[in-house]
Amino acid sequence: MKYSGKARKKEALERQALGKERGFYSLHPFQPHLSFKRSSLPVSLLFRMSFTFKISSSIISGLQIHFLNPNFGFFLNYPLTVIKQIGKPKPIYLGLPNPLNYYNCFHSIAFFPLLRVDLMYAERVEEYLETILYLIMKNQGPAKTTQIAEELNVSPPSVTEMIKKLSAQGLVEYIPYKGVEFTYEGAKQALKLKRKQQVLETFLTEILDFDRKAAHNEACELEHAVSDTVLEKLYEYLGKPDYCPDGNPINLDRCSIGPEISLVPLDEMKEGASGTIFRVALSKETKKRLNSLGLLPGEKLEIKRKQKQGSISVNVVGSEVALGKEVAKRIFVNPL
Amino acid sequence: MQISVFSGDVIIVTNSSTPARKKPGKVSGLGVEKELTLAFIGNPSVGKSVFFTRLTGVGVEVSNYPGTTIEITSGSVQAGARTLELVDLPGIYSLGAAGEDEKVTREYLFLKRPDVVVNVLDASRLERNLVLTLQLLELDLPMVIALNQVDLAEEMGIRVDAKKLSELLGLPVVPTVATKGEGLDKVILIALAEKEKEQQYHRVQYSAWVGEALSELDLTFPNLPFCAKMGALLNEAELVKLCSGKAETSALLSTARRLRQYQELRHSTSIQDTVARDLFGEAGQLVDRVVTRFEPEKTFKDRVDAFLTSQHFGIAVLISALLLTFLAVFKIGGFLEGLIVDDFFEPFLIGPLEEMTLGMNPVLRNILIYSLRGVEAGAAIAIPYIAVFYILLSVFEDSGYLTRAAFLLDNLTHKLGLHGRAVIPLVLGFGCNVPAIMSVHALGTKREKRIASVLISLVPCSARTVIILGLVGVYVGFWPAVSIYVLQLIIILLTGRILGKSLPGKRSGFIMEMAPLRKPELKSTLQKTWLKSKEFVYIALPLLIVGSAFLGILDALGLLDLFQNAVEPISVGLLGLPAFAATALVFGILRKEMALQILAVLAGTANFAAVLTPLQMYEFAVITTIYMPCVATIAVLKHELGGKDTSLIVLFTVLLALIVGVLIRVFGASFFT
Repeated sequence: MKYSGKARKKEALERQALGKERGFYSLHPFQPHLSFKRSSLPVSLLFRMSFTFKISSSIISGLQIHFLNPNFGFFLNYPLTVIKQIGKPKPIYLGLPNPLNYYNCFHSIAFFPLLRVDLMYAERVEEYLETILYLIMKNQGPAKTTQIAEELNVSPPSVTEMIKKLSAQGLVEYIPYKGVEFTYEGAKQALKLKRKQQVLETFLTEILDFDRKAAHNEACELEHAVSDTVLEKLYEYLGKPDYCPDGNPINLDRCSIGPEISLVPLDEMKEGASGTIFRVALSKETKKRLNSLGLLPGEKLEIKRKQKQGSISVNVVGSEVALGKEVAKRIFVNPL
Repeated sequence: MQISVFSGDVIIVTNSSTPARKKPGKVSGLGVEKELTLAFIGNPSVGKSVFFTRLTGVGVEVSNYPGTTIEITSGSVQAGARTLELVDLPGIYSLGAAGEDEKVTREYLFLKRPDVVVNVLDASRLERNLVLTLQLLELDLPMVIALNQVDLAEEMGIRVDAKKLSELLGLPVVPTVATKGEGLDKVILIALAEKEKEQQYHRVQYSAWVGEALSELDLTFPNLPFCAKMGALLNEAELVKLCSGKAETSALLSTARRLRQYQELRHSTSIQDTVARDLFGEAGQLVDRVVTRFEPEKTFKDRVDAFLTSQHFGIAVLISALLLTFLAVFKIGGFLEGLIVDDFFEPFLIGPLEEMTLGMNPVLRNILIYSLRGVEAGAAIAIPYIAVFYILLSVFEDSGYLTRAAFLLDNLTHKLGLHGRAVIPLVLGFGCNVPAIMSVHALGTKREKRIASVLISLVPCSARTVIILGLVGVYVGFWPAVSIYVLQLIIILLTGRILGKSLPGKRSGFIMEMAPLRKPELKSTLQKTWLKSKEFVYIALPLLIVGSAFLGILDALGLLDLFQNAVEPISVGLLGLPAFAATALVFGILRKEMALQILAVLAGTANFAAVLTPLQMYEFAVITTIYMPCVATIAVLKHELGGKDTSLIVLFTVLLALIVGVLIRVFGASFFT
């Protein structure tokens, strides 16, 4: 299919618009990514205006609109938050107190109200949710705003601002002097995100042969763009694994949020290193064979030999066992 | 160290029994007149087979890698007035695991109920070995422990207090060194005494909730043995069936399932893991109480071991080992061949026979001369090469180098859709394809077995080596002969790569115990070589003689020409070989090296340079190497993979041989002028 010039232009504009976190947009009818149309009723044309935001990308989870045009002085910085403006266009009604003025100038671009639109990137929101989840799991309690700021490398005030927005969306709850806690909805979304990231990470390491670090970074990028349907298909394709390549369980629920343990897959350990087996995430038969050789959770092991790209041999319960890479990377060790 | 208290004169070891490789089902027939049955059981490569061979003299193949004994072997021993039947069981790690070896052993143990079990333990790897012992104790069979390889353990800084172990477990423990024959007689005598005794065995202390589940099963099924209940809890249906004799099996299993699910949910851990933990924990505690460790010196052996699998030298060592092997086979085999053919057969046997039979009926004369040529070919061409090769191969096997090679090549074999373990059968294939294909069963999945079998049937076995070295090596040169191996290797790699990509099915992971490096024993090496060569003489020589004689008759009657004319368009037209080569190839199907011998018979001379060009020799050697596995190989292929896969393999190899043959004819000309 050929790309029409119009489509290309539209896309470029869209990209440009999305590139800026917050931008100034004139409410001009020919802006493709941010269009508005008049209500069909003439009366309402005077008093109410309906804007339809057609934002084709799903990554925007909300926006704030501020009227900036001095002609509408008392509208200045009147924020209007639109939540969950994901995908589907939705009309927003604004009352205009000085309809005549507005009406007269309707066809002149100069008199269009200038709106400041803060696009709240879903990506940003998701990052916050993930960080809060990570901190809650780590603290086994509320996440402190200073911790969040540290993790995300942003200033504490901007964290506070964002937390306010999130709590306005009903995702988190700020408990004074303690920190941020999830609401039910927030926890659900955060766990969903986490799962998404883990499944993607598994896919990248298992199927596309990424190394674990790269896979983690890629997954962090990808997770914001992958839809639930794609993710479920992917999960099925992977054979519904229970564990991520870093050894942590994939299907968490609200009850099982525990601190993440820093596990090392056996194949990443160095020659001579030792540790305790924590988890063996392999098929039942393989696990049985490993069990009978003494490779089971709780046993100490020591890496005896290791080949660069291949197999590894470990000393466990007094005997030496050679393991292929595909087996070793599913054995997770708590290093000493 | 005075271990063997009862030496030689008490036990008279008879060497009368024949190698009785019997399937488990057939063993009972033997047991009728025998008084007592002793079964050797233990982890793989702890020395059971050495034990057994030492005692009975029956040739059991012994190697230093897990899984040498596939089938049950039995032999008999005279102890005073009694005749004992000794049974060597495949090594297993635990009673629960589901491999084929484990099944064979388990079935034997439960269905045949040996009178006394001799549990052979490796003192150097006591902890892991004790897990099986603890499981065996639960079966309440009369049992003796042979604590083997105490010398090796000592070397590694491990000293086991046998007396204390015996007290703790509640059964006799005898320290032995099977390779040197120390303590073997004592084990047998104690085993005999043990049969009558009531024993109070040590019991494993399982986790509280496993114990709870077990006692609940005890209430519901008071008559069933312990192992059935344990098996049911672990969801091992087969084990339960074996233990309980099929009574109440399904009821037990379903009750156990409910209990298991309930308990697993409550404790959020699987019962298999918990039981394994308990067993290993118990073994660890026992070891702590009976073993004293001291820091061993960093021995020469350790350094060699590290060197063999080191990043840079490992592969170099491997390649040079292979090259040296072929060089040795080539040089020593060639020397022996010359000795036998030129200095013995030709002047002293064949020459006089030809003179003697000058005036006889041509058919009879042909029969005589051809069969003598068959004997010559078999004894003189094949045996030197095969024997030398097996000596070297058994050194590799016994020393434990093969497992190191498997470890090194795991990465490479992955590209072939296999894993490192497959290296062992592939290397064995250089000796003979038949045992190699028989040993693919240890590989795991069907897919891996199929790939490995195809690749093994392409590996140039010792019989093909005879042709390659005897024809190309002698008349064309050493390096052309090596180039055939290289070519073959390339074909194997390509085939493996294609199969690995295209064949459906599950892959299994590479898990293999690395037995400690051992100095190969001269006796064991020679014994093994002798066994293999004997097998060759028994099986191949009659075939050779009959085949040659048959050929003689065909030749005398003129039928041979008929066949040769029929296939001439292919053999001469397409491949450019002399017409009689086709007949040789047909006989090569019986046994590969026969192709060369028949070629010599048909050409009327063993000096091939007179009748064949170097290119033709090269081409002939390559074609014989590739086309169609020999009859014996086809038979085991059919046994392992079934008829369909086997015929596909045969078809594939024939086509491949034709294609490669034509290619060599077309492109080889420029190399040989």
